[in-house]
Amino acid sequence: MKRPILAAAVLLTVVAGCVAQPAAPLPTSTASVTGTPFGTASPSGTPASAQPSSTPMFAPGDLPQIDGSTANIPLISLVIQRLTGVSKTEADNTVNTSGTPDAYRRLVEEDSGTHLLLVYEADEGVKAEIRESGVALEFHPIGRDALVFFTNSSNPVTSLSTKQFRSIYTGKTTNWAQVGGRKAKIVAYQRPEESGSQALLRKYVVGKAKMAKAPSELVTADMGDIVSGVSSYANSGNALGYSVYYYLANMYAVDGITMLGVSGVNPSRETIADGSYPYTNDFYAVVRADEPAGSPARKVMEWLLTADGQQAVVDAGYVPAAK
Amino acid sequence: MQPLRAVSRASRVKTVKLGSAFVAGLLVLTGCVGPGISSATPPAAPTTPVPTTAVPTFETATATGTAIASTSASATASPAGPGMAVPDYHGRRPMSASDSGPMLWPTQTRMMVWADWNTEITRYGFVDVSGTRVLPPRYEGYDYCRNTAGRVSFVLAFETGRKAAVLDLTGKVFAHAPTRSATCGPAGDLVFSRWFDAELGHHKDGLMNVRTGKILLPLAPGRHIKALGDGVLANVSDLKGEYFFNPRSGKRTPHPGWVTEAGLEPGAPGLPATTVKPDGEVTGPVGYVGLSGTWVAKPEFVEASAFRDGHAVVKLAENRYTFLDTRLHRVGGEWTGIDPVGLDPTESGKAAGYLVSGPQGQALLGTDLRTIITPGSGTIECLSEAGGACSVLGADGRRSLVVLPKGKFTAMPAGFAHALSPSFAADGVEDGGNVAKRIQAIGSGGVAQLDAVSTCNHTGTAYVACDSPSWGVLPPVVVDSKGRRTGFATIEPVFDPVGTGDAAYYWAVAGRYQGFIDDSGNWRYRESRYTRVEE
Repeated sequence: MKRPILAAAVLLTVVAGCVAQPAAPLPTSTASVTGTPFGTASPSGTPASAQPSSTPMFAPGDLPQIDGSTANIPLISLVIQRLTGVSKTEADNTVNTSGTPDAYRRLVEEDSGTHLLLVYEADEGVKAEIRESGVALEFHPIGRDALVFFTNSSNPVTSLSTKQFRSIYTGKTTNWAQVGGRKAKIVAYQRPEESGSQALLRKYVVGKAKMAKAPSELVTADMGDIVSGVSSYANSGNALGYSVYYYLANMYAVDGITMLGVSGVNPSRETIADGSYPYTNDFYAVVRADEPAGSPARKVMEWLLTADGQQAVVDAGYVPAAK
Repeated sequence: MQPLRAVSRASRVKTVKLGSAFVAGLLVLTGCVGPGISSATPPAAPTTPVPTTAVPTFETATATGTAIASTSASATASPAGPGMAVPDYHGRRPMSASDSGPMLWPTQTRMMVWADWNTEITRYGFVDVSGTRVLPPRYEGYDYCRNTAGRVSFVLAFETGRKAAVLDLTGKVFAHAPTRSATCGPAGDLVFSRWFDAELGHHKDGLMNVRTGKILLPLAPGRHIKALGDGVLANVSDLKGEYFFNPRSGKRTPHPGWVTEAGLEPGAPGLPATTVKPDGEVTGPVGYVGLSGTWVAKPEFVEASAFRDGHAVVKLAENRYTFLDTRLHRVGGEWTGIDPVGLDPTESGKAAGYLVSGPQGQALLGTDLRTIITPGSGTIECLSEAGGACSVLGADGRRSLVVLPKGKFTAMPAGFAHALSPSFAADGVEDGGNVAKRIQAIGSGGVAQLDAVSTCNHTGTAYVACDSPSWGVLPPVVVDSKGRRTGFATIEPVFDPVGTGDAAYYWAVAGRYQGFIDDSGNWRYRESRYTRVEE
């Protein structure tokens, strides 16, 4: 059942790098971290210690509830470890996320208990809901990920252009031979329209064009299904799927999968970091704009923007936000 | 919004309160999990066994793109705190059934589906006795079905939008029901159903031989079919009346009643039935019909249960309950209330004993109706899912733990008040008996201190699972039989459907992994928990 979203003025503030606390300069798409309200300041570009501080910033029960995207679970866990001093096991078991759409909904909902998100970009529908809610949000980029396409490793195709991906997902290209591969039908998995990776597919590849109609068994709500499906589909290498890089590389790695390049640029930490891979997208720390100064949620968010916080992003295996 | 905690129906059987929910609560449990009706979710593609992964796991460049490498799990594992360790994984291990025969063990995968709102659901897959995943997590429910010898012989599995699948115990789909909804029938057959209104229970049934595919009884208006649980017969309810049906011989035995509970243990004289066709609620007086097709006990009871362990419970009038023996004699005295305690969570629906109430107070009876605690001896509390354990506060202020069916008494540890199971006690910081700040393992004396007041339930014989008192801020806690906090976040017992009712294994979640563990906490099968991504 869809929850009601408060109708009010459009107040959504998508602020890449907006600064809530003047005392804590925050990274923008070009800024470097120069101040650390809670940790030791580090010169820009110098990794901070990967170890948690000797005196935890929070007692375990005092940390604010952090919700967010599934692909941010490892980061949320590491934040809990670094800021409370609990073990990795305890932190892993503590993390409980709603997923991207619901995390945003919880943040704008009164009294949901959620005050901080570590989250990917919302799809247009959720953005509209947030706007309708009248709740202004503050977005701070903390890391970068990317939409990636993948095939079975037996597929000889290693890279496609955006035009070719678009042609496949709009149904104009249906055979691998049309894009330099073997003569075999392209079995193109899709995600549900509301999913985040589908939003990225639309953002970077398909736009508002009508997607090819996929058989129901190729539209799956579960990303693991796509990954394992592509890895095993008839062992013929003719399946194609898409996900986000971090999830595929770090969270649900299976044998038999190869990520495709885009116009010759393969997705990797380096190409995502330097922006040469074209489908990159930031993920964010998000709080409500009216989150009080000095609140636990704001303290955690500000810490994430320090050198120590950015080091946690790196240590969790992510590409840090662009400086 | 706390994600739903996925549990098998078999693991969440409640102690049934006799009274208004009396008849409905004493249904024979079949081990069925999830609805038999499917809704729209696309099916999952076949999967390969999931290897262990670790974070971070980075790519290795190859000539053909970027191949993804997986690594072992322990690479980045940071030291766990005291008592918080999760065992290392050493690869899959055999997962035999108690009779060493073939079996499918259900895996649980939680995933998000979008239907106007993101909803977390559970999908079940299966692992075989070698500890190998043989079916991906694509089913919304399942049901173990038995042959005439009483052994589980196949599994009904329900996939959204598809006809119910019939799985052999190696995971091969060897047949489909004609409909999306099905239940276990008698003699290894299946009952298939077409639903019109699930909320109102409106459906019609047919009966199919799963081996031959032959339709033994077609769908018919108002037809409801239930296996009697004896491995042989079904009760068929048609618009104009009911009959017992033997699918092997084809024999039909009409009877004059409308059966209210299709549970027939060996030696039972008959089945509870009314004189009026039930329509949502039982409205007529209840008696017992025998397999010969006649009333063996005239319909004179307000409510009546099926026979279990030689006794049935009947309601004579408001606040007047008693027992019947297999000769249909009233035995065990009359009580104002009778609550079966510790229903067997597997399939039999058996009680470990009875908590009864009368003018003199509460009493505890064994299944043979012998008195274990006499009326007025104290206050007795038997939590649901406590495995037959009850706590007693005596008139002298001393607390005891009593374990049914044997009625063994143990002094409750000092500072503890409530029996979560025969093996665990809770301090009982609040009125709710399973709300605790400390848990004690009775056998070892070990005490686990919880981070905050939590709701705890025992799971199987070896663990107590306590919910997170603060979602996303404090972790849920699983306590083992030594009273130690384990590194597991959640644990669900996986009952052996051919065993004695104890948990054979446990479905456990720990950090980024989930899988089956045994009583010792060792992994038998493990996979990535992260199959859910909506980004």
